[in-house]
Amino acid sequence: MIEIKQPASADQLKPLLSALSQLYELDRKVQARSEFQALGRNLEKMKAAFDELGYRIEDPQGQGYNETRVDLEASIAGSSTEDLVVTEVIKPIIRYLMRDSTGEYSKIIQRGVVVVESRSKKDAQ
Amino acid sequence: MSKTINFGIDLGTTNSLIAKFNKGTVEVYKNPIGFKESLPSVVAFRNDRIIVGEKAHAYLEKDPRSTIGQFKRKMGTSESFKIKSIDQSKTPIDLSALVLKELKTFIHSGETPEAAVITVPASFDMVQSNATKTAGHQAGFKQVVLLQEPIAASLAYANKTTGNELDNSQWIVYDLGGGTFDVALVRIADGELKVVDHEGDNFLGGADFDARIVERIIVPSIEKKGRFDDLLDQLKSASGRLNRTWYTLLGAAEEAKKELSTKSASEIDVELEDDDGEMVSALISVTRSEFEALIKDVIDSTAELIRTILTRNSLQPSDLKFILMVGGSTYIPSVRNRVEELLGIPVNTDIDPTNAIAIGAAYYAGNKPLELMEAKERDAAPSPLKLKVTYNKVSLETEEMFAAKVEGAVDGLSFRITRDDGGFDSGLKQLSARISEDLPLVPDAYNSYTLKILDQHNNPIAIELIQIAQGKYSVAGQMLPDDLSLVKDNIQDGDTKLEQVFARNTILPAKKKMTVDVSKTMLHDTEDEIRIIVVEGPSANHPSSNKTVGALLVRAKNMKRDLLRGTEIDLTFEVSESRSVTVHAYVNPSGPEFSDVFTPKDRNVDVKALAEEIGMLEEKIEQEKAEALDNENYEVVDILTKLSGPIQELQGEAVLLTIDDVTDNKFKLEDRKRKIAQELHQATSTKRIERLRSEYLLVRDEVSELVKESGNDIEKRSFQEIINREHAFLNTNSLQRLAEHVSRLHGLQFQILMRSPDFLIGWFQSLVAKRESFNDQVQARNFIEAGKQHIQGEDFDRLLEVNRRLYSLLPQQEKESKEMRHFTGIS
Repeated sequence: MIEIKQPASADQLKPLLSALSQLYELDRKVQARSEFQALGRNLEKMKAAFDELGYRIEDPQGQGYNETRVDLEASIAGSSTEDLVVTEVIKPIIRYLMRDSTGEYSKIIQRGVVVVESRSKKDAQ
Repeated sequence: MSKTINFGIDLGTTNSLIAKFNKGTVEVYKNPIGFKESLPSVVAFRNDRIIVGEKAHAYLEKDPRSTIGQFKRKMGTSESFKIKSIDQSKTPIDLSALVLKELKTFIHSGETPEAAVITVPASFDMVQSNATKTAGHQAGFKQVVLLQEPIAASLAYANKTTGNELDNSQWIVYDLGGGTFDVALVRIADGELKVVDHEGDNFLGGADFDARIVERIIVPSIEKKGRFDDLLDQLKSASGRLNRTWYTLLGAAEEAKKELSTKSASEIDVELEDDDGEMVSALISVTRSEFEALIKDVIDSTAELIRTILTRNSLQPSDLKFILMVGGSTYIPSVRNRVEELLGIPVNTDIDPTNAIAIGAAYYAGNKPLELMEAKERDAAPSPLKLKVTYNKVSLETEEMFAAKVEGAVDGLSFRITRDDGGFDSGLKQLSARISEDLPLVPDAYNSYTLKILDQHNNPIAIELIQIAQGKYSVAGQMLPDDLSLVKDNIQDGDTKLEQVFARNTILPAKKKMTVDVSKTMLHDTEDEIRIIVVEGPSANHPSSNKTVGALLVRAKNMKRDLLRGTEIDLTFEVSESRSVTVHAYVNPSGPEFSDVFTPKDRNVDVKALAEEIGMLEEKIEQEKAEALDNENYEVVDILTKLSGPIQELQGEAVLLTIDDVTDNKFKLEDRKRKIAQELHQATSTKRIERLRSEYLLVRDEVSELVKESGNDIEKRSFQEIINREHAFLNTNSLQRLAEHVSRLHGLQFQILMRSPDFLIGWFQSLVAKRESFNDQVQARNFIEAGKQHIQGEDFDRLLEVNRRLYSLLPQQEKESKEMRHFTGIS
């Protein structure tokens, strides 16, 4: 097993994770509104800076979900539990990356908080 | 000394925890998945796997026929749960045993506990208590000791305090968790703790508070902003149009609730579509007093239960020492305050309410002797199983099938596969002669999994590592053969230097962003240009000895405005698998973007830049030769003389090249230039390294004194960091690294000197000596006058300010005593 050391204790990371979640939120709002387009580049630079530090934001929106995905804390909306897909992201997944000569390894330091629902129900809507 | 049990478990109705006593302290273990201390006491049977904890909790409401929670309430009854997905029944004991087994996976030390202290509510009778014991045995514990929860909480408190202040007293343990409420009267007499009386409400907890925030604050606010017929129904009903939003709002309400524990107000950001399809967005403010009013009746009802106990035991509030607060919901200030206010008994919040029971259980376990017949160490017996695994080690898919053949007795065994980044868990699956599992892959990454074969008590008997490279790693072998670097101006030395963009052996494709500063002001109507030059070769070398991959020219005449010194340029470098390099430049803030692709076959050599480089090289050779002659280093003189001829020849040929030369002459010239540069640097590198080394040692001694005398903590630490790395860079042959550290020392030196009166006065005097050259004589005179006054008044902060202003009045060439070269225009 590859041992990746946590960058800091969970408590120490809290403010950082909160900042990264806000960055994700901001990015999503900017993408949704054309009048904010000019901010996109600044956000990209911020994300790149965090990436450089080893923190990467991952957006699970639209991804499939089942009980083996422990990178997500999900609330299941609707009545069906089959063929689930992420329809709402409350907090993104955040990984801590470690790079060495053999490649890039990561550890999830914040699980995504999402709402999932059955694909068939979503299609029907 | 005899061994003790040490492990304590809080087997809760909604959440469970495990802790261990070790040499006087207690560690609460964290779930290796998600790192939370608590594990939801929920079990799900999905397809062919058993899932325990948070994942199962997600399915609790939506798949109730195969997901079971709150089974603790049925302990000791003959009731069992029919599980639809496996078409079997499970007893509360079976389900509790599964939770206990899952808790064992939290123990990161690899120990296999043979005994544990498990807590039970004060309300549990003999039958219920015995059922808990059986669950413990079923989970593989040979010895199970039960402990009442209020006692455990009290022990956690008692172990935090010193002395015997608790002796012969009584108190209330108030336990308000996520979904249940318990209250107990605990008495200590002759050193023995005892639960005298208890009460509780099995359907009361923090989750109710969240729902109230949504129902009574958020929903009415939204209803005012858009058209909704039955918003609450639409949210709460599984078939409702807005059911998804219900969970989002519950989450937001929980966040707000937590925030209100420390702040006086919190805001909830809501966005949803109304019945007309219009987007309704609202920023709803919840104040602490609103929230307190919302839950007041609930808190009052809990105080009532305490009163019931007091009356029943003929006690006055003053007979009680305190009310010990346990359970996550007691973090809420109004819960603490209201209970204290209503009953007039001081509340005690000295222990962490979320894990106090597990901690207390562990303290108890730390004093409880192990009474096992065979309490010997478990031998690490070799696994009797043989595993033959098959899977693709590299993949471009998002999922890979893992298959294994198992030889040996598989009855009663199970397996589990987890991904090491904490993103995948197969859950517990029954082991058979052939197993297969789809493994989801993280894109562009090395995916590492652990397969564990577990015995009936969840103890691992075999472990296998699975490693799959996804995406770019599938073409491993496609690596960058040499460093790729960017050429920048080295203003201090009037030379150029390299900054590494990609290191050798970087796996392709690769992408990197960098920001550089424009090092000279360019007027937009001139022929001036900035050169983004990418070279291939060791990044520790001098730029001219590396091979040029390409140069992207940012021309002043393509700009709408002048490009000022210090302007940032965002650069993006991309190297494809076929090693073509794309450079993309975006100039802030004037906006134009430039990009170019350089392919290894189609080398890009800029004729104008080449001629300049050859010129610089020729000059450098002559300089070095003169210096070597002065130092009587004839060996070097000899080598350099031999280079003079070829470089002059090259210079002549370069002049003849046209700007748009289409032959391969320019490539040949570039190659020859590079070879000459390599020879020059080879011949002179020892000298330059030696010189830098002695410069480093000299500056180090100076700075050492300075730091000792007037450095602050941060400066002392920075200096120490440089010293700590000293052995590494002093022995290197990398000029860049040595130079970097010398420059850091200079920076530190300057920083400290800036606070030194002597230095500031000296600097002022040297500026005054240049009074003739200031751009604005009137201003300069004023500053000089002010400076003199500051020296007299010993106001050195202001003197520093004056020095800076005077410096800024100096003409450019006075500021830069050395002639500056701008070859690339970036630094």
